[in-house]
Amino acid sequence: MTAAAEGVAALADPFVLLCIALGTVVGMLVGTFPGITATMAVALASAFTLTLDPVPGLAVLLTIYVAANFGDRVPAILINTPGTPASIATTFDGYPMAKQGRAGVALTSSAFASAVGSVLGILVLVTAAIPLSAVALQFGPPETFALVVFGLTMMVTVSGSRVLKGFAAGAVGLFLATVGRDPITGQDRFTAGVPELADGVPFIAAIIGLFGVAEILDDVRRRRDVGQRPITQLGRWWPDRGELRRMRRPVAIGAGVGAVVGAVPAAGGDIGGIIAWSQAKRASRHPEEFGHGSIEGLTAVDTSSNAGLGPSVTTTLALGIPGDSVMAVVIGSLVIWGITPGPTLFTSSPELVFSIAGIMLVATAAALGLSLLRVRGAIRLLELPPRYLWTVVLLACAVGTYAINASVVDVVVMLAFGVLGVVMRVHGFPPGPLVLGLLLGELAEANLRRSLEIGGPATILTSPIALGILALSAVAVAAPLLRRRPGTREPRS
Amino acid sequence: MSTDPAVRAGWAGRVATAAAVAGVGAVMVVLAASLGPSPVATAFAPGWWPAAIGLVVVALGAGLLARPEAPDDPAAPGGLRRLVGVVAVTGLGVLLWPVVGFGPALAPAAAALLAVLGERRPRVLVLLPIALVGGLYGLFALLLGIPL
Repeated sequence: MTAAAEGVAALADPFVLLCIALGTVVGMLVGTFPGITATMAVALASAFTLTLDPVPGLAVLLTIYVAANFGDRVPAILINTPGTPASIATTFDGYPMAKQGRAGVALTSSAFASAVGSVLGILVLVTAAIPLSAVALQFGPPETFALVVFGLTMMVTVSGSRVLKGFAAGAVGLFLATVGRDPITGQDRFTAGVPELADGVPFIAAIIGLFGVAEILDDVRRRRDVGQRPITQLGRWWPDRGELRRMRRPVAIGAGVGAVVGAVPAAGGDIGGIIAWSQAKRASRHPEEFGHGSIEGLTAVDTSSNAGLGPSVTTTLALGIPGDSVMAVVIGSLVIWGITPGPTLFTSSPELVFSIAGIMLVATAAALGLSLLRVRGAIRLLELPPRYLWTVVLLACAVGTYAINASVVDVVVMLAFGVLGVVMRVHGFPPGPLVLGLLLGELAEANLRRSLEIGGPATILTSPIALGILALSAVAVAAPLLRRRPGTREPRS
Repeated sequence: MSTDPAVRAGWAGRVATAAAVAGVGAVMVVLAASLGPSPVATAFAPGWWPAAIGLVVVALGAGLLARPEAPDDPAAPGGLRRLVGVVAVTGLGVLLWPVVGFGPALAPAAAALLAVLGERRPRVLVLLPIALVGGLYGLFALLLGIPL
């Protein structure tokens, strides 16, 4: 049986389909409620899925990932609040369309654009994952170290204007990754005599703390406990022929931008959406409509943020470097299942590419189907006071974290990272680089030390691949710093 | 230095943030130095890498002093009080969990959380925590077989 047939056959299991159905509903709800991000939901769901086999477990996690990128457009369009960061740019034109009485057309156009983007991204996954992992298979310790550095620098450079704070957060993550056994000598470091820390900081607990608990604590700190009143007059539901025609070019632009941005380690749909919006505006015959209810702006954004999903999974699984924060959580789950993401994964188990692509394809179809249902009652969910949601999610985070190792220490770690996360947010430190540092720290240290012990710095400096990747990293870091020199102009948003 | 209170407060905040980052880096270096030499013959002591990271963090603290970045994000009125309340209640619930058990620890914690967050209706304060804790117990303990 070929890898493709074997991979797709794994989806024929009714339990896997049930997991996809469950993940779709959860993902749509997660996306719809502002304040619950896909990262938070996937981190929380990973506590449930650890008892499952990898394919059903991945079905839940990846379906939430895909469906949340459909559901998040609903609050972006109806209450001008992105459901997840990936739909930030959806508000630019989605909400103005809704205010003009075109909420229905905005919702359906956005759903179609998201589906097209998602399918194109999955095609990138199917065609690029195995060749990319075959190339990466040639990597030794110097090249792997350089790749890890590249992943870290990309996360920092996408921290916007907070480059130094991003670096500081990443460095703290790298330090926290040293807690536990030394990767070369096995000596305990910074465990404070707590046996649970000998294997390192519990990653899933840390992730749930940083992205789940911290986000709720930040909402508690910033918001009044009042549900927002959504636009309920949806108007016409289906786009007309003229509108469909106008969607073609922005869909193509969004797909291209999303595929490239999604493949960049650590860059998520929020960045892809904003870039696609500005590119579509530049290419449009009606740029003056952008920001005032342009269907072109809306479709470019949603195609792009969903087209990035497949390439993001490709980078994560083929290189072992997370494509975005959700993928960082998925890596944590894969490691617990005994699957090590990286170049050897797809060469040893090529069928997994097709299982993953199949899961994402079915999830896209299911999420599109749900998005096209005109359910007026569901819109009322947006009016629910956030205090109920906060309480439910906080307790679910605590119990979910406990369930991973049946350890209260993990729950304490979760809460500590929640407090750390909210302190970071208050002082403008992005949490993403910390997670990446925590995830990649051991890989970075072990490969750097191995490289240096083999032949000193020359081991790295004589590898053209390592040097090339390190040069790319340097350019990625220097570019935003140089752009913000005193006297230079900030790029317009 | 400017006499404008807002500018002075911004400057003070920047210095405090930079000092805190540099202080965290210094603590990392001290902790790394306390690890001592390697127990096996290797070129690098276990504290080499964490110490290097600590030094980078100290340098970043200095950089933040020279180059201001995103300012602090102030809390909404009463936000800080609610935040401390939520953390305290959740922490207490978690610490009591191994002592008094899952339900007796987390149901009152859920009720207290709702109260801290502004819920005042007694019926909601009683029924929602019971339903929530019951639901979580059903899902994890009964369905997934994870002892709570």
